[in-house]
Amino acid sequence: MAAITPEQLGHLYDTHAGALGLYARQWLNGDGADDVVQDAFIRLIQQRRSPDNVRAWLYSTVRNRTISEYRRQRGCEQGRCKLAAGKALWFEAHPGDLLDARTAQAALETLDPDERELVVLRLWSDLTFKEIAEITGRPISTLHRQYQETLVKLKNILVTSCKTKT
Amino acid sequence: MQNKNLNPELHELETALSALTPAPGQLRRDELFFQAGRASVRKRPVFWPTLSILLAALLAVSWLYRPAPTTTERVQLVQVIKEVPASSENTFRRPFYYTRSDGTDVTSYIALRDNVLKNGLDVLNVKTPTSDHAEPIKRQKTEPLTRWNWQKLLNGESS
Repeated sequence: MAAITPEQLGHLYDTHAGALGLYARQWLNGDGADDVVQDAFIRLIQQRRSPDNVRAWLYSTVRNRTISEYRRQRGCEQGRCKLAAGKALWFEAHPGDLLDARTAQAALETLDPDERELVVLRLWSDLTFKEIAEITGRPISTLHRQYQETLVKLKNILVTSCKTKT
Repeated sequence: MQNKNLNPELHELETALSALTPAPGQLRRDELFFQAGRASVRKRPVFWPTLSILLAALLAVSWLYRPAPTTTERVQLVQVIKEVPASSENTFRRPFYYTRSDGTDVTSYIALRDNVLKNGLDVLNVKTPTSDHAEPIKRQKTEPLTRWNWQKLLNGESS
């Protein structure tokens, strides 16, 4: 497969830059996440041959770079990184949203890093479980089970949050 | 992308969550394209220039530290054959005339011999008998070789 053209790069940026930024912001603050995403796109256009699955390649690159950068900045205990909480907003707030953006971000921040990564990749990156398994290196069956459990946990967190607000 | 195996409540939650739009970062599209374009420019090949420089340096070092030329003395025996200068071509063809110790002059004989060897027997000017003047060869009549005669010959008896 030939190298990525500038037009393809533009299309990939328009499609995935937001989700990649959200994915990177789980570990890094806003500037660091943007740098990692930019670096991933630059690396993509430097590839002599386009990867078979460009989307999965982008997420893998962002993941590796983000974790390395996070470990370099703060250290990471046994590979489980703490959340870069409260540094930047993860979602744009729109009046028509069913969920409040800040509430959703707060609920996501309470999740375990592996669970949060799975939910972000599944919901906002539009990746299949197979692609998520390739990126994270976890079995697909585990991902299925963990995804349902995480949604239940999120639901409980949000319900509790709503009750607290009211 | 939503999971169809989820119960309605979870499915509703999934829909609500996925409706949230990720916040755009500070990353600017133009800056990204500028950086990507600059990075996509092929780097100059470094292998061959580096190899050439290394080989040139190696050649220079080897030239500077080359061993000094050594002089080796070697004795070689050469056999020199002196040639006798020849005065003329006829020197060796000239007949050698001398006189024997008994006083006989062999000059004429040697001259004759050389002449015969060179020109043949005709120089002797000797008349050979022709077939007309030659005496006919008389054939001796012999008895036929019979067994009897053969036995006589073996016994040494002459006929």
